[in-house]
Amino acid sequence: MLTVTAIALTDSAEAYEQVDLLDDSGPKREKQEKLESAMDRIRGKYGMGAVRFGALSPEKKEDPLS
Amino acid sequence: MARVILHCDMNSFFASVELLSHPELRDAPVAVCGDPSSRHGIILAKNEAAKKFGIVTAETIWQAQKKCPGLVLLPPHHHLYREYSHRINAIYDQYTDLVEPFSVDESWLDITGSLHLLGGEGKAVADEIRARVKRELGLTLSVGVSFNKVFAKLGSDYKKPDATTVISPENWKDLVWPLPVGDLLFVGKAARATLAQFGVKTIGELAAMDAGQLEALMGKMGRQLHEYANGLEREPVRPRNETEPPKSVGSGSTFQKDLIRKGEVSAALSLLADDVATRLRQCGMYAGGVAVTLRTPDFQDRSRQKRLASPTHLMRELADGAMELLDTFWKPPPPSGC
Repeated sequence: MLTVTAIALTDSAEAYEQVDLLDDSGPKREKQEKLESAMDRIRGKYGMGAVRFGALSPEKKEDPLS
Repeated sequence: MARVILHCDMNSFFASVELLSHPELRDAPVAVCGDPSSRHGIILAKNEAAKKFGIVTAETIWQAQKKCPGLVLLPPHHHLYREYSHRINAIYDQYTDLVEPFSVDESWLDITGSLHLLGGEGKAVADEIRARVKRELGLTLSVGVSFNKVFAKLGSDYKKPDATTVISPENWKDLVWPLPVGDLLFVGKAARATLAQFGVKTIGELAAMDAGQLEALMGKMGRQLHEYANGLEREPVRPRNETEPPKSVGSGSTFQKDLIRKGEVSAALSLLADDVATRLRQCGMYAGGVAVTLRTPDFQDRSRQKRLASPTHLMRELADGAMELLDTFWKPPPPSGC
């Protein structure tokens, strides 16, 4: 069994970001934001299974931590 | 400015509600209990007269009757307790919008913001609430008034029944520190036993301990208890319709077959990270860190966690962080036949 957990949660309004002057990931991140936001809208309209990243199909889905 | 928080604790709640229907039993020892025909029935609540016989909640009916052969046993009426709880909380709502129920018969009220409308004196407000509940519902309660939730609760336990106790920024050390450490919120039997090994029997002795040592001894809870004992607890009173924000959001799967190739593991992590990220966005949260737990086929859990460069609610960033973690302890199984 494999589990991924988001920890040290913060309110979106409180989210900080250490600005790295040499970091050029901004446009990439913006693109990813747009992509995942579009996925949210599709899922909101057609259901969670309507769109997903290419991945394995789980046999059994558990949510032990929420 | 110090907060003004009340902790209102109904006295012998179940038994008191039952006695409203049986006023003739008011001075008799009475207990509310499960099925008396069963030897497994236990005492759910008792009135003051029964307490004098040493009857305690959760003991068996058989034990209680041994202590007090004349004990009157009444069956519980949970719908009535819920109804009275609603009526009591409706009274609290008239004093502040910050009412946080702790159980069916206990609530915290933060009256800091409304105090100026209520005469400016926390103790007077507490006394008025006690008088109203007694007059309107025929029930008594004890109220603790303090500058944080933990001390307000200590205050309501300090003097019972039908009393108000103020634990203020001026008197708290004199009142709180001599109390047994077990009186502190969340110090149960196990914590008491651990602390006793270090000679800690009072809240004052707990306060004097080194916070780091307590954390080493009891984990996060140790540091929390140290803060409680030193009057540093700062938790807000949460209105009853507000749920606490989640502390973590996780997603786990058992896959159809063991994950052998790195590509399979990466795809699996993406799938889980997608679920986590979607839920983070739904509740408007960002993750400052990510953790990965892998349960091996022989049921051993391996876990790692790390802080992310910046908080995120994106699948790709969570998956990348998770993959970095997994790389530190996951090795593909050797090919069969080796």
